[in-house]
Amino acid sequence: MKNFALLVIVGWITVDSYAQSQRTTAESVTNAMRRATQYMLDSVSTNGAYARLYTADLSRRWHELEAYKSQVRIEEPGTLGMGNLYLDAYHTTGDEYYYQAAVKVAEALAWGQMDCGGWHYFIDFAGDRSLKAWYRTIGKHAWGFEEHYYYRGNATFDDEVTSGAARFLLRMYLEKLDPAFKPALDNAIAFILESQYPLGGWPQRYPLKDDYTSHYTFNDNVIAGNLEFLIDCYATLGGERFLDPIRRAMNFYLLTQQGDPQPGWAQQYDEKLQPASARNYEPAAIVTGQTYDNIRMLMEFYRYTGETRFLNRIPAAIAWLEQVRLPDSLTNGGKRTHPFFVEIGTNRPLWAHRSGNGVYDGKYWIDYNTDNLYGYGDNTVIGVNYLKDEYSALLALPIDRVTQDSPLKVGQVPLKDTGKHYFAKKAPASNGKVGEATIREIIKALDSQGRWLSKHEWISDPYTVDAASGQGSNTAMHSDPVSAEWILDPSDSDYISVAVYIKNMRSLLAYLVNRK
Amino acid sequence: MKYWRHILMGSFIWAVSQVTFADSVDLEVLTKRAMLKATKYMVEEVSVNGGYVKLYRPDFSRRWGELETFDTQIWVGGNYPFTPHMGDVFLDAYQATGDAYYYQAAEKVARALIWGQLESGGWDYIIDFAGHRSLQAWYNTIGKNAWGWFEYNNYYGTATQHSNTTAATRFLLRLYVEKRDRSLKPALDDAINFVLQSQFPAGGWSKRYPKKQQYQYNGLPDYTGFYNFHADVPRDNIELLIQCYVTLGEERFLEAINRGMNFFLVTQQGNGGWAKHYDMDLRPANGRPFEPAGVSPVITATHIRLLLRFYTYTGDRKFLTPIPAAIEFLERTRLPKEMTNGGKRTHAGVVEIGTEKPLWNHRRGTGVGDGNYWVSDDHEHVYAFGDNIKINIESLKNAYDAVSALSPEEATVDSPLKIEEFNGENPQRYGRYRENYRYYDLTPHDIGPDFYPGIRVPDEIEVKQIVGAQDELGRWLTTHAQISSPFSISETGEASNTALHSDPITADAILDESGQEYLDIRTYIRYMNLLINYIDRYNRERTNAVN
Repeated sequence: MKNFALLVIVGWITVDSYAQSQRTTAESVTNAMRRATQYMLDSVSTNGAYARLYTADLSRRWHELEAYKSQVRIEEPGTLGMGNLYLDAYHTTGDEYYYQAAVKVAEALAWGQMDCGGWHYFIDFAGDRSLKAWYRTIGKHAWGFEEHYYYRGNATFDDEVTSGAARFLLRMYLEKLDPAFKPALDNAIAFILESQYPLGGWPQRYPLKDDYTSHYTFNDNVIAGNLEFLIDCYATLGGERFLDPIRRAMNFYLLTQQGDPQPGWAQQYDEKLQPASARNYEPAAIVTGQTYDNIRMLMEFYRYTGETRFLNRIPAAIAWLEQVRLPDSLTNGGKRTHPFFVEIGTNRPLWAHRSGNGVYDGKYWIDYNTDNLYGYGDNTVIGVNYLKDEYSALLALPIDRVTQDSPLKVGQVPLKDTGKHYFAKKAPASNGKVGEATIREIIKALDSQGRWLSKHEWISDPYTVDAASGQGSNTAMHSDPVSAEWILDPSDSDYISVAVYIKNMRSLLAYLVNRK
Repeated sequence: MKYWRHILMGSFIWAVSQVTFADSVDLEVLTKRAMLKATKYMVEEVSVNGGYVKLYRPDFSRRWGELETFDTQIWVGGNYPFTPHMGDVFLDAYQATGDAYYYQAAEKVARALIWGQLESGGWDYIIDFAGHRSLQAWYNTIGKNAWGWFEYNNYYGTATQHSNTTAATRFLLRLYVEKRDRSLKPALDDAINFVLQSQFPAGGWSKRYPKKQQYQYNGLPDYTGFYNFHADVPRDNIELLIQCYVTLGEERFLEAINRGMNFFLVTQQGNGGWAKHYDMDLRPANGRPFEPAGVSPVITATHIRLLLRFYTYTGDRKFLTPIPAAIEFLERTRLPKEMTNGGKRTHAGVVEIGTEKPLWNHRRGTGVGDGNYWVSDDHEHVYAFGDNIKINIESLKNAYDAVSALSPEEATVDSPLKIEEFNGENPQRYGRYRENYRYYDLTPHDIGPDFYPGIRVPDEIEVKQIVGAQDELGRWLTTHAQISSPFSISETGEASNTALHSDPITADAILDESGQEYLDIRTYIRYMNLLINYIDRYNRERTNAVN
């Protein structure tokens, strides 16, 4: 008995001293993560959800624009960035604290889910009356932020707001298969299925309104985001019913590619499938950036299905991109390779411009002039060679290799790649290694309250009304009146940035993952 | 120093506890420990996301539901028992011991089932956590080539009613009423609505719903949309709806229950018997290739028992009126001695409409590629499905005499449909260990197959045997299982037969004689039920002693 006890103790000391040397850092990493998260959760979050940026004293906050205290932002790096990070932190550390933080995010999203099943850009916990007050003041006067000029009262797919929120709920549900998350998830899925046009595309917003937001929209991952979400559903929820909408969405890329001699894509299409304009600085045009994205998507569809019909017209699209490449004289000293907008019928570059100071006198126009450009798509760089290489590489692969990772392929799937593991594989908690020195810096940068403060953030001025004219002030984020280039806060003011928190946390997670 | 003391103390307590248990621990503690150990192994090592199949190699290298199955799959139904039935055991164990571990195990079962619930609200046989793409792969290989397992030869993707949708729904109902956890309610509501919606106006149910008319065999129509008595579908659904009525208390269930019971009246044939399948004109119809249209003595015998039960539910003597003709039909179709296979059967599986001649099933071949089924007069070499049926007509007569002698008031004393004050402690807690069977039991103990011990309480010797038979991991391993060969494709491109090993003619099971051990959930369920029954009696005796 005595000997036995001694043996155990010796063994224990050996293990412990071995661990001691490593644990110092691992513990300090997990401690830092907990302290930083606790501050975000207890002091920063609104009902478990987040805006994008806060002043250090939490007196002001921003989502896409300045926000009310009752408002949180959905898209990354707002609430969804936080929720996804929490789940990744839970996977890496096994610490239930992060799961509970993710539960709070899910509960906030479920609160903010609209009756239709989708989400607006942001959630206002003070409800409709507060949202309307915001739109009449800050939203309406945010020059250049046209999607916020007025309140439409419907859900948006812009920037994957709805598909992102739905995907987060899907991840939450898969984590423990807790049916508490299922009704909200089911509603979101039903909404995305219902809002798909029969031809396979989606509008930017739904239910439909009588404006550009009802156009078929490729811009900002509206169609791609919804399609990807449905593929996630097929892979993780397994229902056959997702296949038809997925196929229709993929086919939509084929039927929107323009005929010769301009075999590219527009960002929006009207109900007759003609290229359409959207915001004031987005003319109906063939768009090089969208064409690049859609070529990559078609190659992805080939990897999903092994069907060569998705490849057929890629060479024509690539050739068109080569054709509209800018002459050296127009590349702004090598800062761009292509115009963003190309005129239908002529292949001439179209450029956006603006003048003015705010919504009252501001003007946008499109012309052929490359001087004083408005900074939307002005410096477009298209890697045509990358497309060519990818395309040739894909053609050279035998078909079973092409589709080997396809989530749509009929075949057995290892159990370890199903459910929540699907997302861990698809989007690992961290990529790459982070050095010991960086980790020490990150931990050191955490202040006594558990904050990573940052400076020189992108902010806006508070909304005011000019007594003389009765006009509201420009509430847009600070930017150059002509080029709209960002102007960051030059002062020494401290901010709490959700993006900074997420970046640091991801570095710490990467460190933990690589230690294992 | 602190840790050092901890370890010393820990070792000390461990050593002492071993001695104590070895000497004087009472059987109740040992039993509960064995139950928990067995259950932890099932939940933590065997289950996939909380769900189960029927049979496993101990190293999990192969596993079987009704057929061999992928490791991403769990089974909901088919012939007992599968995932919902494991959930029932967990809930029984929870109610008997109060140990929250069992509730959590049951919760995991519910989560697996809810993940696999179809859009319609029902369930198919298999839940595949790798989804439709993997399920397709299974149907394309194992399912398609399982000779004699017709329901798996084609993929439908619809819900089936074959002790799976009913069992899953009943289990969700039980779990919901246990703590009224509202997160379970949407799935339960969807499931109940599925059962209600899938009922035909005439009161019966089909094997699959929604109807998907697609697969034909030998020119016979797809039977899966027909009215179906096979696998006790209407009985199970009626009982389920009664359980809903009792525990959820909603009037809306009554109409469906009544239509369900009346369906038995309208389907009796002029000769007094019932068929297994009926087409949409309520004429006897074919089922699978080895189920020709005809009148079925065994279905008829089952229905006699059910009609007696319906009388005890309703007090309505109209449910008794079909029985004398049904008994006469059974008397008339009793096989002559030379056809009884040496006394192994009293009736044929099915008799011809009109002539009442036995329709004997036969098959030949080696697999789905060359296999053939046919019906003939030859009562030898009979295909085992529906073979060797023994019907005890005397006991049916006695039951009829006893029940029909009761007045409606006497008959309905224990009826769950009776309008009266509820005298139990909690109408939602219908565990089999609550109340006294007066009200409805949510576990199917009276209808279970052989491995299900029902309410039998084992004596201490048997309990000790069961506990002692458990291995160090908490398993009860068995040998001589009926397994199948792995799916393979020959050099000439022919797919192998993936059916469970059986005689090519009679389809009698051929067991694995190699001595290979298996983990069979039927063993777990049987032993757990016996131990639960023992613990339950122990609890009750203790309660009585205190009182």
